[in-house]
Amino acid sequence: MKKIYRHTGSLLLLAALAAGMPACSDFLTEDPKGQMTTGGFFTGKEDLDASLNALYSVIAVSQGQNNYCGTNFLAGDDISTHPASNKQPLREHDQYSVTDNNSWLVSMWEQRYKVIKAANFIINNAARTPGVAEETIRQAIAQAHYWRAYSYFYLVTTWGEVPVMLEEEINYEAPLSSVEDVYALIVSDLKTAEEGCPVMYTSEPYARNGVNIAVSRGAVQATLSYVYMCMAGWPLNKGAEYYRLAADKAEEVIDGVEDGTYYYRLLDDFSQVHSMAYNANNPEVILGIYYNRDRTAQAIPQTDILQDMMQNGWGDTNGEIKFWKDFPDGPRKEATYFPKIMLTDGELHDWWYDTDPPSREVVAPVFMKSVESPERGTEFDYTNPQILSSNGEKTVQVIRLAQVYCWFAEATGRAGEVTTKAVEMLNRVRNRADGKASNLYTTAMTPEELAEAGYNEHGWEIAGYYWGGLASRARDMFRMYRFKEHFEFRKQNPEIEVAPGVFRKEAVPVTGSWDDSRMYSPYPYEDAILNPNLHR
Amino acid sequence: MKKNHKWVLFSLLVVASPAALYAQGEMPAPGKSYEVEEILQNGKKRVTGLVTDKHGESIIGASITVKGDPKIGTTSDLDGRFILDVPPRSTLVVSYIGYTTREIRVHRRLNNYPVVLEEDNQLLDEVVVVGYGTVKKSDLTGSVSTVGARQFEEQPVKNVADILQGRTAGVEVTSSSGMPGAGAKVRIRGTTSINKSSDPLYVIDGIISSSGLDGLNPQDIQSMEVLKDASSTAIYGSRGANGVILVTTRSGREGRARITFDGKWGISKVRKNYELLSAYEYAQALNDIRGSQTIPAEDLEAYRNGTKGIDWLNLMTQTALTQDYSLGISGGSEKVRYLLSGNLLDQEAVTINSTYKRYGFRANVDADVRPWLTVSAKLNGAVIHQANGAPSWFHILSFSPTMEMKDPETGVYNRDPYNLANANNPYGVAMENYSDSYSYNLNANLSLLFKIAKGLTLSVQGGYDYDHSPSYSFSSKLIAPGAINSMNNTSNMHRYWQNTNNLTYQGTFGDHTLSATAVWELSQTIDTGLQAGGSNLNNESVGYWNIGNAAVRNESNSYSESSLASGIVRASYDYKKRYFLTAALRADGSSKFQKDHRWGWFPSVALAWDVAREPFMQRQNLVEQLKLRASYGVTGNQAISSYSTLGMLSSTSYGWGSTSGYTGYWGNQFATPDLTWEKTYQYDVGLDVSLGGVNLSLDWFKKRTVDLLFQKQVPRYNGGGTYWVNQGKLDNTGVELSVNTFPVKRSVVWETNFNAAFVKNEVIDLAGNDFVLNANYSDLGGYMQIMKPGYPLGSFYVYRWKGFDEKGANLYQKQDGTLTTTPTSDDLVVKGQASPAWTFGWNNNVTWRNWTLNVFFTAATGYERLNISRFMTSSMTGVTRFIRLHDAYFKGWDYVQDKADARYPSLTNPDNKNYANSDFWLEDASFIKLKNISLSYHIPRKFTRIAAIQLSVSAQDVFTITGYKGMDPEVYAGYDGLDYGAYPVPRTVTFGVKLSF
Repeated sequence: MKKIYRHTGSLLLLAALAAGMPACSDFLTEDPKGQMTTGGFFTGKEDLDASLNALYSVIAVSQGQNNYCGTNFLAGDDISTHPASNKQPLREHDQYSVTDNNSWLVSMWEQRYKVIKAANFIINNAARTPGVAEETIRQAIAQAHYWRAYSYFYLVTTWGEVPVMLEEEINYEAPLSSVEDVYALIVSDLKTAEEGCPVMYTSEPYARNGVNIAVSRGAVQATLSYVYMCMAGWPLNKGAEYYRLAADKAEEVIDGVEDGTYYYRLLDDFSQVHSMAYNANNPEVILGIYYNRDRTAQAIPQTDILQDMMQNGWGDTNGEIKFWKDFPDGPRKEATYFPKIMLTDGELHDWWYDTDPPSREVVAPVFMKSVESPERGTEFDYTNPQILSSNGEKTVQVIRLAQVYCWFAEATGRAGEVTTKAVEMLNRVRNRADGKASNLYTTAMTPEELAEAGYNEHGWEIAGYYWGGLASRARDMFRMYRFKEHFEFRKQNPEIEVAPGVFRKEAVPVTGSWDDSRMYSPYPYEDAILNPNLHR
Repeated sequence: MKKNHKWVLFSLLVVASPAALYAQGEMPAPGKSYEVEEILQNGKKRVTGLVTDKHGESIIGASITVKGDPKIGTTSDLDGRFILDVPPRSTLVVSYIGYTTREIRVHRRLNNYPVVLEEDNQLLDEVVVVGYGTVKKSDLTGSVSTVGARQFEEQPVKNVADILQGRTAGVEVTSSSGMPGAGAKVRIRGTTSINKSSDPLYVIDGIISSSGLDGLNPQDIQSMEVLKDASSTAIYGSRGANGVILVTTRSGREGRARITFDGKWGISKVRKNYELLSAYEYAQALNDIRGSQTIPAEDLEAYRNGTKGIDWLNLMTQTALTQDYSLGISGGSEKVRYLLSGNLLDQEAVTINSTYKRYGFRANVDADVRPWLTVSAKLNGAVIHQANGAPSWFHILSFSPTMEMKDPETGVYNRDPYNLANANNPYGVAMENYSDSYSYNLNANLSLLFKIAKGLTLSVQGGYDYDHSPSYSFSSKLIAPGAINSMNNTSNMHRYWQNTNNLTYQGTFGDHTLSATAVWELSQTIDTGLQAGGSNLNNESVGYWNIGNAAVRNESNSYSESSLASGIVRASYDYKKRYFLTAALRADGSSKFQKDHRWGWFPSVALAWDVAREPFMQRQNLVEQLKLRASYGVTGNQAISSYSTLGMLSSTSYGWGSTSGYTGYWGNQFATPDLTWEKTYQYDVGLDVSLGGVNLSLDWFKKRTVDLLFQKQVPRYNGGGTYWVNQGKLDNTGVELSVNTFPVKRSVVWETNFNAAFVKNEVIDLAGNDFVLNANYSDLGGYMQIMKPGYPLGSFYVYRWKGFDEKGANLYQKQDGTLTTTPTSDDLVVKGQASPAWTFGWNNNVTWRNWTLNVFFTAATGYERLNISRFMTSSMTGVTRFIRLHDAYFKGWDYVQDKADARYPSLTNPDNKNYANSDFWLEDASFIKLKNISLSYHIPRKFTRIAAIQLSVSAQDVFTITGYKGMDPEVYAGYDGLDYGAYPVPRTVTFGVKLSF
């Protein structure tokens, strides 16, 4: 018996030793291998690059699909949607009657703020990066300022007063900042960006194929020009002074192009503008968001054609008839809309084709700019019946040089002037659209006529390009307070003669009476329930 | 020492023996023939005998003594035989643990006595496994339910959830999918956590099961104990809040080797389908709604005469075969006992192409290597192979029947041209893509039990759980126009070790019994992952095995680790088995929390009073037990993932338009250094009554969870997402009843077991929020569910549907009571709940001679399902551009002549708004299911000579009585309570044969 106890005793000791071995404090302290904390970041150039990779990644996602971006631009007179099917979230914008529970609204709101958050991360932390040239840090921070301004610009023109978040902290009581204050931040951010962003990046991935991929100084100036135009218009109505500022900023870009500082130039044919041939090296694009199907694909816009088309569209959007009708003929119109549409019978038809009695659900012109060929890298051919893929890699063209020309003309006109230079720039745009040197615009125009010509040319340039651009047709109409007019027009919904003896009208009904609350989207209820300040 | 040793063996055997309830009336033991009485010289008579169970299997180690003279005695040998010299005209007492003791008169002219022992149904003597120890059922102070092998042996079970479902009150098991190998939702006494797992803790033979129970062969399970009240679960401290399920595996028994073979063959089929539009009907509907040219006339004719058209349901489902084989060998000597078992399960899904295979092996060995030391080693190995995951039922139900399957030239499968946007052809995916997931699981468990002194033992236990789960997938470019082919290899490794040192003292001093336990335990989990994938494969023939073949590649790896250190003390005391007291305290330190918030303390106390043991109750023999129980305790939840409090940078990858991947980091998460345990306080009052052969248990409980690990929504203007806080309160209150009895106990024996449980779940506070929305489907209408103080978790948040307007648009009730076609978020109301309020189980075993019939029902009521499958197949919304459901067209506004007959809204009215979060789609899901019915016949060994054979035929999920319109009221997908293409549980017919050698 005694022996047994002795053995047991020694074993006991062993067991106790085994159990007590790991020192307790070490045992319970976390060591997150392979992961990074904010505190341990920004330790060198690599981290700085990585923070930019993240920022641009967030941006690419935020503009990669039309439920994240651009749904609200269906308010424009260029574009409409399907009267039924699953298009309720798009339709509400087209009808100027957006509900706070619109299922796409919250993503559109959140995605802007995600970009802001990724930008704030750089703005608030990157300065401490050691061992990196000050210039490099400044460039990174300048880019972050740009995208923050870009995002607030989207917010202020869609919701008006919004919470302004500059720190990386959670605030359930964030107040709404006035439109004036939000614009002040945008302008200040853009000025910082203008100082810091280079004219031309020298290394990949910030520049490739001879074009800037990241934000360059020209892009900031162009953006600032358009922001000033918006400040000049509704709702701040700052008028001529700001149109002057807008014209000046546009002119800086134009002069940079003229003196060779900037590489931008108009492509010769409008059909090249959205072509795959120039997808990665389009000299007309001042700022683009670049996709690649193997990495970050963009979705939706490339199948944004009618549901009854042979190539299998989603029917998200279609052109509005009056806008199509007013659109001047020429190469620009041919590249903007499908010249003919192929229906499931395999035949090519005019878009207004219908049977007797009528059988088509949506009879409307169809935008072709964003459509992508099912064969990767090849140009889209509307006579090819092959079914489209919904994943694509067409570059989102945020700002093109042609737009800056239009803004220059419009801003100059609205500031009360007509200059040779403004007319010339506008003629460049129109001549290409016409495919000939028609030189339609002259200095004999009144400032008002020049402004409207610039406004219209811009509309035709970006017609139907609703999810991707800085300045969509809807945003132009917003700053010019022209939604109301179009609302009344859509309510009437007159038959329009689209071909001799053929009359067509819009399929989506617009009802109710106008009030200015229709200018903005409501705050998404998902956030309004978290913060009581999110109410008008 | 010897006595002690015996006690241990004794309890081991008790635990190991299938606790049995079977019993029959006393019969005389007839001898084969009368012999001449032979009186030995010492005046005694030599008798021989054979001890067997009712199936004729010999019982080894049964004790045979003489009544009134216990000094004369022996035990049965390896063949169950015994020889004993007894005084003439004495009475033999034959006993064996787990069996009813029998007394046999020694006849004058009879020398050979075959003794048939019946299995014991005296539940009160059962030994129950509790956390870090065992206790006699009659001495329990807490609320513990036992599910023994006997309760499920008549049902062909494939996994542990099958065993638990409907077996015991307070354990709610919901099959979330009918896919082989799919998990189930197991809730003990309701859902206690909002954002963190409410799954119970599983402990296999004392070691926490860290990699799940998938690798465990149900045939190896001896019993499962469900710990429900806090006095039982608090011993598991920070992991005990959701209840604990203790799994005890079988052990070998002393005696001749027993070989058992168990084979089962099953045939499964989908039980109920939606009625969808046929190809012709669909084509007509398309032409009617979308325009008459949508389907050209010649195609229409082809759909009518059946030369064209796709029946997706028929194409994608099959009659599935299941094979399940187990082989077991067990036996042992007095000192060493062993059990070896092997298992092979091969299961097909009722949808094409998917299979689930499990190969398992177990070795359990117990050895008394010294009188003071018992060593137990348990080893379980399993290989699981899941080939091809489940197809999307939503896609199967939604794809248009009027389409071409694929491009005849390129072989590329078509997408749906009319209905489902952006979804790959499910048949194309099944035909061209493939994936294989494996799990290589090894579970080792070694324990040393030292008997230090009388009543004092030390057990040192080490457990190691290793799980390597690689998975491989390949996606072809043929699955859709423009599809990019890709491959992926993932290799995840999970390792867990645990060391538990348990010092226990047990002693009886007169009327006082004391048991005290102290435990020191350490455990650690390490997970690593490695992934490599690629796209744009040059050649598809290499499948997923050649990453060099991929033009674009991506790769990632990961590491996470967490540790837990714990100390436990517990004391139990009883006086005359009348008054019981148990008190325990556990301290847990978790690495998941930062320094000052690391340690949690979890106390508990329980009292019990067995009134039947009072002197004044001794005159009657009707009430065997009348025990009142009360307990209180604190448990915790720490189930956040490692590093959650640190606020790590989020990683992204962007190509800047190129095929290269540039890695990025940004601060998308928030650090939460103050985060700590979630705590659950639980009160329990219970009553155990054993009265005239009826055993009844009744429990009332209230659980309050505070400092909820709450995933608070970050406003989208702060970037969205969520972060962890310790805020909020949640209550679960409930009643549980279980009854066990033998309504008939003659030549026909009917044992019935009924249990019912009610649980009321109520959110008390939500970190100060008025409500929190949940289950977001932005394209279907937004949030489907809401958490709100005063309402249960999983409450639905819906618009009130009120018929159609004069143009067939859905009408919804506004907040002010008026009707509208365009509701806003103000008009949403809280309605219904996802988890059943009441759950029932009713198990019946009827035996007659060699026949056994099992009938097992489960039922649930007081809950709803949001039938999104029905919504999506009958509404044009989100990704569905058309409808599929027969009634949505033929009973739709546009079709019916008398608009009063319309059951579904207009498909042409632009003002019609479709919301899945509408009570139009919220359906009562109450059901009664015949879960199992089986009939088996036992052929004793004496007929077959070689083996005892049991043949059985059974059916599982035979029928469901329900008003639910979907395929299965039980399953859900996406979020609890949402039937969004959920995979239904099929009906299965199983044939079985069991051989014992």
